[in-house]
Amino acid sequence: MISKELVGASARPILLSILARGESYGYAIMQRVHDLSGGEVEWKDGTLYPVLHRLEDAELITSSWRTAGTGRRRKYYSITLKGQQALEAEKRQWLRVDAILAQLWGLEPRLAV
Amino acid sequence: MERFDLEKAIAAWRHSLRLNRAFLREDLDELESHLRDHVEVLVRQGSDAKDAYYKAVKRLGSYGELTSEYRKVRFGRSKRKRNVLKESIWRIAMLKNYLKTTLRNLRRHKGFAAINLIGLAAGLAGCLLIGLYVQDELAYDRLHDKGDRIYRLGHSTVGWPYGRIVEAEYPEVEKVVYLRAWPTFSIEHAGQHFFESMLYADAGFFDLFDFPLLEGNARTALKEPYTLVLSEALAQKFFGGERALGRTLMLSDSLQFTVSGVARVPQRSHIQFDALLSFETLRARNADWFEQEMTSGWLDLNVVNYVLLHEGTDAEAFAAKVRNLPQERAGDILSRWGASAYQLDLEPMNRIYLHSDNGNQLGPQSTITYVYLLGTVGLFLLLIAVVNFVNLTTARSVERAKEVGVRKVVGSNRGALIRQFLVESFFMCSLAVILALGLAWLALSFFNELALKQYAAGHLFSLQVALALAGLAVVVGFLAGVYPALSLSAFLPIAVLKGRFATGRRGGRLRQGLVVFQFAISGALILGTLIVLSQLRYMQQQDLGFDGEQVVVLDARQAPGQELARRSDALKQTLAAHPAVEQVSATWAVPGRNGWRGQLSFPEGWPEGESISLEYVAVDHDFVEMLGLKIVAGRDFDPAFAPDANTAVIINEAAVDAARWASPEEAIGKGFTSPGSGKPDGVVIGVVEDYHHHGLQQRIEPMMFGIRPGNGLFALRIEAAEAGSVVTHLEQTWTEFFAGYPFAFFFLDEDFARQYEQEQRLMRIFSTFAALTILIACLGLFGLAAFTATQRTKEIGVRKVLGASVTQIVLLLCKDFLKWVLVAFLVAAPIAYYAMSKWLEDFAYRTAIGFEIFLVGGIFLLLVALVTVSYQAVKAALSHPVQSLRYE
Repeated sequence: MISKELVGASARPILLSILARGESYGYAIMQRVHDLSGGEVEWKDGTLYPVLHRLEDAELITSSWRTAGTGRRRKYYSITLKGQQALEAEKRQWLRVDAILAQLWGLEPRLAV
Repeated sequence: MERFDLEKAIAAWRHSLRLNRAFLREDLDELESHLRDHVEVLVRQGSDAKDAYYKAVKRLGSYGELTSEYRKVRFGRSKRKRNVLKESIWRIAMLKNYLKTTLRNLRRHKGFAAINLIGLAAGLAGCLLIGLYVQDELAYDRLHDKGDRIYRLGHSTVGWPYGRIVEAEYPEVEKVVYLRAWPTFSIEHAGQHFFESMLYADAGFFDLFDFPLLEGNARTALKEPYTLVLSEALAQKFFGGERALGRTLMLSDSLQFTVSGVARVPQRSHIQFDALLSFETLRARNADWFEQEMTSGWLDLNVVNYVLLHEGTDAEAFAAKVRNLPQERAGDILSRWGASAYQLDLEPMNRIYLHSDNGNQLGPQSTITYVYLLGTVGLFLLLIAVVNFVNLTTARSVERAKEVGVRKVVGSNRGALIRQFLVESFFMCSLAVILALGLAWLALSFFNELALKQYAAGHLFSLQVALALAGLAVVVGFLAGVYPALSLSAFLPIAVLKGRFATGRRGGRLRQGLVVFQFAISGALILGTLIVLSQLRYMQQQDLGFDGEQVVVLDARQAPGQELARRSDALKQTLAAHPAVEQVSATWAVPGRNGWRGQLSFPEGWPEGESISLEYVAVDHDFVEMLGLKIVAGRDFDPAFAPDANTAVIINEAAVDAARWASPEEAIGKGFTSPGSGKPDGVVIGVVEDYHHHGLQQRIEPMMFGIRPGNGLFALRIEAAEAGSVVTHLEQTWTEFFAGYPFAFFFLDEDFARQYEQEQRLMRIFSTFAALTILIACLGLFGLAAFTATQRTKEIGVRKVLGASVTQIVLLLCKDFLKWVLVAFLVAAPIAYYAMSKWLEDFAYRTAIGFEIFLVGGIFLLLVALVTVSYQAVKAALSHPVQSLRYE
């Protein structure tokens, strides 16, 4: 299980990365996180949204309501240019941290640019 | 069991979140959409709807988890916006809510609210009027720029040479202004003779005093002889708004004066005049006499000198320097006049109106005593009213305890409750202030009579008063509201709502203390009223020693002097011709009016230079008989004895004692020598029994009566039934003799009683405010009794069921209150006794403060309290026990 602090810190790059691959809505984003982590990242689904809203306030992502094929209204989020730049910065920081830890533990850094 | 309905469940879940301000509608839409997606997936995977719903909700997060996360974002991101706008909207909404609660409370408890409001308003109205009075009294003589440097030389009147000396020889003195009081000229205008109050004033008058000049030039107005400055009122009366400058007026039929200015004389001034005559006129009329007065008129009772000191002068040091000036410069002359103790005082001009105790003034005089007295009463009134308010508000705390409890449970914090109670208090005070303004307006004419002022509605409805009232409302609102606010907001909801709340002992103590305080003040005022009343009665019932009833006095002092002297006998005979007139006497002074007081005289056989001071009254042969005075030795004046007209004097017993003669008999034939004459000019032919020539405030002084023609008062003893026709006769005679001169008369007993005006006024003040404080205190008591009665409804019910009679219950309820009223009276009695003994010390003849006064006062106070309480007590006692015990 990943600690709460680390989950909190990683939420931003995770969400930006998912949205960088295309727009999506809350439930789908959550499913993706579940699938990728294999259940290791334990978020309450509802707490995803406040984080999304905060990113939106920072103008890193935008949102719009759209009606899906099933007839239900969903709010779709997509990354902005500013969001992509922020993601690049995040990426560099995480790589630095990954490289430091890998060297310390004598492992090959696995994250690639 | 009911079938699970997904739609209903989702609606309920959504509703539970909707009440929280952290979620916007949009957030809920999004969360709901998420929930539905998840449920759909789970159902597709084979769960039933119910399990899927609960699993999905759990995954979404609990209410707590969701709100805490959303709150962080929501309130984190729009903090600034919320603070300014939403906060203030919210505050206003709360204020509206507070006011609404207040109004509801008022409506639901009309009686209580009325008692509370009337009490406070009555107190504030009294306080407002008193404030007006005090402010007015303190505002005298404030219009003069140099006012704080102006001093009056001498006690009130002084000789001219002192002014001349200080101006010439003391560098502290910048300027001296000379005034000479009250020349008795008539002013002729359009064929009528008017007697106006006049003063001689020198050319520097308008330099020293800033009376605004409407016409004329301040520097030159009084420079030339035979010029005068009219008051605005007199100029209006004579010339009706036309230009007065340069007009001529004839004074005493022989002196022609030119108007050189018109001045406004404000009411708030200790110097009042209708006309100022130029000082130079005195020199022009008789230069020799003028010079002599200037150099050696060391003791002239008609002169007033004001000095202007240079800025920064130590007035006290200067006063010390000039104090002995009279004895240094004119010691021998003054001692020959028997004035070897005469000193020169310095009175600050600003203090004259309220602090000078001399009877000889240039205008109205008041005393600081009344300012203090009324100020204290006003303050007490305010205190009583506020105390009442606090008392009644806290008394209702039990009733409101439940409200407080519920408010707290619903989420109100202490600050909000304190604000609520303060808003209520401010609101009530504002209402009371408005009501008070109305009451003050209604009571204005009554108060004018009491305070001897002429306030109009305009004085009340002014910006100044409005500001003062607004301030008062805030202060009183705070004072009255802060205790209830703090004590009520501190209630613990659990105790209150469980019904375990009882009237705290502390609250009860406080209320008792406040009741004692209120009734102590009322009691002291009642005792004050009774004591003043008893002194008045004493003074009015005392045998004055003369028969003043059925005496009417014609005041002929405004007739031209020489003419009067010439025709005095003829006038007397004509007056006596009316059948209802029994006796006529022409005299300088009747009882109640001053003779020549403070005359120095050397009794025969006394060491050189020692004198006594006595009051000399010039009379005619009929004076003693007309007043019904008793001769105890010697004889009355007799027209048959020619020498009587020149040297014979009659003295009273007090004069015999003052001259240290053994008995009235021994005084007969003894001589009196007046200062400066060198040989006896009065020989005692008779001694009259002492009588009260002045009010009973004053001890009977040594008096001397001598024959002198030309006296201005004609006292007529008449048959009472004929008073009307005698007055007609007086008027006809007057027109016959002195047509065109003002006709005036008075009845001796009424005139004498006017000396007690001060005391009567004091009594009215005391009784009025005693009534007001009692009213307020009783309103409070009434409210408290009503409250106690409701508090004890159940107890009364149980007692009645167990067989208590109505009387017993009434007694039970009254006992408590009466006990405290009694305590209050015991507190008030010694205070009133002490204060009123001090007051009585000013009277030469005074009543004793008897036990019966305290008895009457005490019984009255108790009775008033009893009546107040018993209404509620009887009402409670008569109520049927079934009513009060039904819900037990």
